[in-house]
Amino acid sequence: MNKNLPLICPSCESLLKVKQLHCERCETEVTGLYSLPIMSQLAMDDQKFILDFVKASGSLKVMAQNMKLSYPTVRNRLDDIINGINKLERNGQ
Amino acid sequence: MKSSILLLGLSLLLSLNSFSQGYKKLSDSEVDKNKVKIAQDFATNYLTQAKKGESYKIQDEAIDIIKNYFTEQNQKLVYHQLKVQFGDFQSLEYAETWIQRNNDTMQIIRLKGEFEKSYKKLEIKVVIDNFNKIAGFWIIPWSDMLK
Amino acid sequence: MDNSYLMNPFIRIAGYKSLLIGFAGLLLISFISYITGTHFNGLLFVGFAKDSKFVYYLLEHIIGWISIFIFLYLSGIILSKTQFRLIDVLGTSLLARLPLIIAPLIRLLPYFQSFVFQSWEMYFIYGVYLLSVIWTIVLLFNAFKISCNLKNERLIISFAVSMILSEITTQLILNSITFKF
Repeated sequence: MNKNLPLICPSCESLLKVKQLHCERCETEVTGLYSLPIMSQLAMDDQKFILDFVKASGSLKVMAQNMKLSYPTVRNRLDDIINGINKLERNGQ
Repeated sequence: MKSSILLLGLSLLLSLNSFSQGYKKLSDSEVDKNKVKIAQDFATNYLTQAKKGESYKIQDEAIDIIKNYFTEQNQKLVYHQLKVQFGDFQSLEYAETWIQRNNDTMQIIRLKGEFEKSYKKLEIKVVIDNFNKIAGFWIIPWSDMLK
Repeated sequence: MDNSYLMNPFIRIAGYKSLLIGFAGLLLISFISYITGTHFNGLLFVGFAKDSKFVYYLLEHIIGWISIFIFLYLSGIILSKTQFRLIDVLGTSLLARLPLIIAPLIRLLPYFQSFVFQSWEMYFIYGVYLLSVIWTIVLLFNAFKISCNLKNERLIISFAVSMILSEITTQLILNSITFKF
């Protein structure tokens, strides 16, 4: 079962942070307060898009072929993700 | 429900049809070739003479009103206006004949004329009465809609 | 609805593919317009007259297409923040004109070849034309939106201005060549 990383607090809708990390092998637990990396703060679909984009050597044409979408549709999706990243970066500062 | 809408649409269409169709286009077999020839000859004679700068002498092919209107001066004036806007007359061809449903004494014969400067053909409309006399004559831009 | 093939095929088709399909469509529309005598003086005026050579009907569609393309492309250059491609605007704005085939197609039926002014045939064909123009405008809007990646007020205002300017330009060009070609 694929579990999605929760990003937003269900109670107050603020961005969640990482408090605890756990090693499955030796059972070590690290406690602290860490911000999520920007990549992880993106929606799952956007994360998948970025991974596919890197695998396609950064070619929007190849991406469009693989996704069976037109070039401008894929480019617009990338633009939206870039805007999202910029917004997250501004909010993080 | 669907069939009643269809029926309503059809009856509306038919009522519109009977309301608006004051005219009927004649099929090829119904066309009076003699009338077409009269219309063609009249239009060709007038336009070719006017092109040469001469005037056409109307004989008995037209009713008196047309004869009286089509003076030498009026013929030249009409052709001059045509020439300025559309260029010199080139040729004409027969297109179609219409009749009025409630008055079949008149036939509207529509010819298409080519003019030198005009990319589009013009309509040469000739109305011919029961006695095979020309009762109307117009030259206007061609339209597939009879106006 | 917005993402359907009928209303927004540009999600899947753009660039050279849209240009090729659109161009084949343009030739077909021009040919059927020629045999049925359907004139397109911009998008707002349709005329019924079998009175010209094929090239004139073709020219009406080419001028209409190029004119809207130029204004949409310029709007994109001025307003879009992304690096869009000329071929996408060119191809999608041509593909968007395909619904214009409907009125000439209907005129292939004997009823609509020549008819009386203010008859039911006239109102029917004008009604069909109006619907096909609305469909074309929706497609042009979506083509512009996807090709230039514009949103909100920028998209709506620049599209409306482009449409008005291209309509005026098309009318001016067509009127100037009608009797002087």
